[in-house]
Amino acid sequence: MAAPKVAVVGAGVIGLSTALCISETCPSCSVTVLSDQFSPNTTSDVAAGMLIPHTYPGTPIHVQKQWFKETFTYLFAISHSAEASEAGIHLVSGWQVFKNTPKEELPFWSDVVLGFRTMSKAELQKFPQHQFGQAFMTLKCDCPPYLLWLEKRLKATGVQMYTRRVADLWELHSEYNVVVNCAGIGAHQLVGDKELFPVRGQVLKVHAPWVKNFIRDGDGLTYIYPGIHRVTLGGTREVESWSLSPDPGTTKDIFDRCCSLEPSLRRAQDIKVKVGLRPSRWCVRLQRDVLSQGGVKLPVVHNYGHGAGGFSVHRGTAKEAARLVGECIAALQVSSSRAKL
Amino acid sequence: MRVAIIGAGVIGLSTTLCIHEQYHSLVPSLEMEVYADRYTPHTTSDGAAGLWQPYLSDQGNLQETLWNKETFDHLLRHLGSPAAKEMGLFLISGYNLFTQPVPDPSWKNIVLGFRNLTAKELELFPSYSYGWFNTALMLECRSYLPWLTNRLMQRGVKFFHKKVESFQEVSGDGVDVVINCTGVRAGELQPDPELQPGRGQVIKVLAPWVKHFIITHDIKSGIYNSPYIIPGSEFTVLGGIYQHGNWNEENSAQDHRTIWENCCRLLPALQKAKIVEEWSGLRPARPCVRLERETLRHGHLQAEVIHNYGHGGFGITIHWGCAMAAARLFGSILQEKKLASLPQPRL
Repeated sequence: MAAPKVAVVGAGVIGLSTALCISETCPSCSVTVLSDQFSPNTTSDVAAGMLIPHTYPGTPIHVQKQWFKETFTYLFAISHSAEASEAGIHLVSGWQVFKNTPKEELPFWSDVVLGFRTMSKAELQKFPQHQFGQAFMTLKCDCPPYLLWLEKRLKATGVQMYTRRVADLWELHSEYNVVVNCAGIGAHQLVGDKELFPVRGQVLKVHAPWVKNFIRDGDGLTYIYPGIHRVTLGGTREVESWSLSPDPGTTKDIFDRCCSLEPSLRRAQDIKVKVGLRPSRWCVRLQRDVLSQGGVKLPVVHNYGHGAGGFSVHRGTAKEAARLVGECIAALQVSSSRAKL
Repeated sequence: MRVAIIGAGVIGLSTTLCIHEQYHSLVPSLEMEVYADRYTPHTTSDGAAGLWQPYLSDQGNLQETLWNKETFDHLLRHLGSPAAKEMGLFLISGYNLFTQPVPDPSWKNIVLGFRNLTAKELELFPSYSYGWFNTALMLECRSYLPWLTNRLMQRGVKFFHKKVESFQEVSGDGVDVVINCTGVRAGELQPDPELQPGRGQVIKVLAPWVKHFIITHDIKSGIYNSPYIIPGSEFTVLGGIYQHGNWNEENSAQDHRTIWENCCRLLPALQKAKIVEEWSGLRPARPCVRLERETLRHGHLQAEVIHNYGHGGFGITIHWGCAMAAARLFGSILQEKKLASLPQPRL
């Protein structure tokens, strides 16, 4: 087969990082990214990009840990290189605090992040409503910078990117040998996956440059994540809500909750409100598939459904997806050489 | 009762506020006047990054360790208040890096969450093999000094833009107590061979992705002669110069290169940071802080002087503890003058 042609559908953090991994592992492949949205209009752009994993009930923990570890290691190296600021990757330390001591005091990722330990009584005094806490250091991927940096890396390796709304994966069968589905919440429509559902998140992005530490309530609903230029305040988790319009009542509620964790936020300026739909699923759909019509087959690799944990595992799942693409190509090469006999 | 304070850096202004807060209701006639030739943003305090961190060793000076703790606790209490942002006060975490293991510092239980660095964290800093991580405070004087000034003006404290050439200049005019917060130039009012400038130079850059302070240490070069990076609310301060005895307040091109190269080696991403400002200042270095009373006699006139200077590179770190100690000395003066009935001053 001449240079295999791979289409990656989706240009959020999953689509772009998957395209990059494919071009890294298969240099002979011609990779094209197709998406109706690019940064700054993807779901990823709304997210704070914190490397704090979400737990998928349907994926074995050791797999999730491996994905997280690979992602952390990859970003850690970028964070102390000269490219860190351009890539939007930086280290940030802070606290996760709980109103009630959690059953699981040591999350599965505690030995992947840096310096994980229980908070002292003196540290907890800052959070009078919380009785237990964990302190650690992790990484943050600021978007748009991270996505723009991925786009730049992709262009440098010859990957083409086109704005195109793909209505049906099959429409790509004549132009591409393999299709990779990184459509995120778009997969609900694109492949009719009823197990995929939105979890609506509203966040505020504010100017409060004196906030240097992250603070997260263990319930996952209230968080303060300092980025390069803005601090992300969150949030909400509204299951099955498809609305992308900001809700003013929610804005006030988020702001109040965050100010009760960090009173100095009352002085925050220039509040911008954003909404994203987390592409949630009981497990990440990371698997091969085949579409066929009239004897023609189109190999597909799915890589979507990362919900609240996209950034935390993106590189790990991208590498796995690239490996699956490699398998698809190998299978195509076998069948194409068989066809020649 | 008239009190003249000479010096309007962090020491002068905080001492004035501390005394006024404690005594204005006890001494209705209390009038306080600040004299200085430099006000914010032109004081030594304004150039400092503002990180609360004492030197590594207290050299047995437990009193200074206590003053540091009092300052930290005082600031920590203000963190949750609405004034914090206006004061330039916020929490910050970061690293202290060493090339060999060192004993824990006297302040390990004053700061929050003090711990050693893990091996993985040390991978970030290949030239260093040992270190600490803790959460401390930033107090940016470019905000704090104006905040103090506002509080003082609200209390009726008067400010005079004047270079005071001698204690007599202020004390002869009916002033009962002079508070000497003149920092590095205290020797001009009264010779003090123990007071020397500890010249520093810093480069201020835009590097908002840096969220932690990084202070390196080289036991051989001495304190602050090893690169440090301190992110503020607007700019990140790069430094690492300490020249004992150097009075030059001009920026040095060689020091600029030293700071820039060393800091970029420590954090390669800084190469992309935009340089915004460069500044040199003179730390008022002294083997220990001079915080004591002195009675000055000039002819038949007598004035009480409270000295509060010589805070080196830890003025912000120690300021409130010293202000309170100065206030106690003030209280003992009042008692002697029978101007207020107060409990015995603590020794």
